[in-house]
Amino acid sequence: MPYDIVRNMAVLGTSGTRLDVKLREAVGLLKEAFAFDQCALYLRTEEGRGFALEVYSGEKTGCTRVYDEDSGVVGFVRKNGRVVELYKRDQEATAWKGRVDPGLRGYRHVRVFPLMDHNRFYGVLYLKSRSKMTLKPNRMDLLRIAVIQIVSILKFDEIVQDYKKANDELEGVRDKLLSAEKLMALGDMAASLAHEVKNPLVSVGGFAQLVKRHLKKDSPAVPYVDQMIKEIKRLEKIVTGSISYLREDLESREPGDLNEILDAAVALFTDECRDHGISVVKDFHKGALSVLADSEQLKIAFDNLIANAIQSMGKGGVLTLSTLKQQDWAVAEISDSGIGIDPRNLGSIFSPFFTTKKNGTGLGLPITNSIIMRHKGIIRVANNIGAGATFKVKLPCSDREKGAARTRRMQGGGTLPGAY
Amino acid sequence: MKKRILVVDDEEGLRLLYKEELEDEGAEVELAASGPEALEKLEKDSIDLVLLDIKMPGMDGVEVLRRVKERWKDLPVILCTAYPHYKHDFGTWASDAYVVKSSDLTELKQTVKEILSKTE
Repeated sequence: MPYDIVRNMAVLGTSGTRLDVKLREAVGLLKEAFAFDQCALYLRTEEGRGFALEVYSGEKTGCTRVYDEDSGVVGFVRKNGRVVELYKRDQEATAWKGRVDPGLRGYRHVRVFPLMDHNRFYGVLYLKSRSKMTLKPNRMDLLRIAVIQIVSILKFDEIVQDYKKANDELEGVRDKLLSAEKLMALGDMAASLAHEVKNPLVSVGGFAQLVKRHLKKDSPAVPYVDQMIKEIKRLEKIVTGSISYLREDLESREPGDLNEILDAAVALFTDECRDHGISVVKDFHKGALSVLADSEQLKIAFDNLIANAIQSMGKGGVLTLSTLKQQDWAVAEISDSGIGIDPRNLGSIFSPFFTTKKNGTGLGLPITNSIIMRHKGIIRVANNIGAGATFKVKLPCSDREKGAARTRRMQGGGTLPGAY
Repeated sequence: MKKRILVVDDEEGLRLLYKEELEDEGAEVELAASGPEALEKLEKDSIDLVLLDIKMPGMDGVEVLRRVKERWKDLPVILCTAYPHYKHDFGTWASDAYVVKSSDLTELKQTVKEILSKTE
C-alpha cells in the first residue's frame, strides 16, 4: 500500500502520546516503509550548539552521539537547508567529499534530511542503506511528505510546550494578583469597618473615663471601668491602624528622595535603638534616589519595617539599612540580625490581623504592603532562620528630568498640580 | 467670664461626651449636629472656639471651616477627625489645630486650653 506511510504518520501526529514515543514510532515507520537499514533522528541540543541522537530504528551501527552544527555533512545540510543524498563506493569510508562523518561507516547509500520549517532548524534525519537503494520519483515524493510530517510533529510539540509555559506563567501571575487583590480587599473592608466603628468607640471610651471620674476612689467598680478603658484603647489602636488602609489615603505624591525618606524614618528610632543596644548601619546609594511618593505614607511603611526589625532582635544586634539603584528601581533594604521569621508564618505575614506579638495589631506589614503597592512598588522578604530577615522594597524611579520640568512649569504658575 | 465653645459633630454620643468633658473644664458648651446648624449658631451666639468634625453628611467640616474663616477670621477652630491623614489636606491648613479623635480626651483638652489662653 503506497500511501500507508502517509496515513500512519498522520495518525501518529494527531495521537496523544509523548514526543519521544512519537518520534521513535515515526523513524520505525520510515524504516519499514522504505526498507532502510538504519533511520536515526538528531535534535538540536539544549545548549543549541549541536545535534544529539534522539531516536533510531534498525541497526545501532554508526550512530553518532552528537553532531557539531557547523561541520561535516550535518553542517552542509544545515547551511544549504536541502537534503543530501550521498553514495560511497567504499562502504567503510567515514568521509564524503572531504566532509568527515563517522556515522557514514558501514553504509553505501545515505540520505540526510534537514528537519526544518521557514524559521526553525529542529534537527537532521539520517536514512542509511548498506547497498545502493534507488527510489522511484513517486516513492521519493512519499518520503519527502513523510519527513514533512515529522517536522509537523516537532513543530506541534513546540507549540504545545510554548503554550504550556505561557499558561503556567500566566497562572503564576494570576495567583499573585489574586492574593494581592485579596489582601487589598481585606484591608479596604477592615478600613471601612474601622471608620464605622471609630466614632461610637471613642464615645464609649470617653464615657467610660467620665464614669471613672464620678466613681469614688475606693469603689469596687474602679477596676471594672479600668479594664473597659484599657480594652477600648486596644480597639482604638486597631481601628486607627486600619483606617490608614483607606485607598483615599494616598493622594499627594511628589518627587522625593528615597534616601531622605528612609533616613527620616530611622531617625524616629534613635533612642529605641540606643536603649536596646542595637547598632544601626546605613549603606546608602551615593546621590539621590528619586521616587514619586507620598513621603509621609512611605515613612509609615518604613517605620513598620524598622519597628519589626528592632522587635525581632530584642537586646543587641545590628539593623542594616541600605539603598541602591537597580535598573529603573530604587531599592531599600531593611535587615536585622534577629531570629528570623518562622517559616510557618511566612505565608501570613502580610495578611491583616495576623500577628505573633503579644500586643500587636497585625496591621503593620499589611499597611506597609498596601502603601508600597499603591506606590506601584514591590515588597519581598528574604528570611534566614536564626540569622534575621531582610525586607526589600522596590519602588519605580521617577524620571528626574520630567520631575524637574514639572517643577519649573508649576513655578511658572497657571497649571494645577492635579493636572499631571 | 466663661469661655463658650461650639461643638460640631454629627455623632450624638461624641457631642455629649465633649459637652460633659469641656463643661468639667469650666467652659460653656453649645452643640450643633451639622455644618448649617453650626453656622446658624455662630450668627446668633458669641462663641470663643469651635470644635469641628470633618466627616459629616452634607456640608463637611472642611467646607464649614472655609465659611467660618471667611466670616469670622479670628475665631479659632480645632478640627477633630478619625483620620490622621487629613493633615495633608489643603483645606485644613486654615484651622488652628488638628486633633485625632480618641477616647482619651487629654490631647483635645490641652489643645483647647492652649488656644483659649491665646485669646485672653
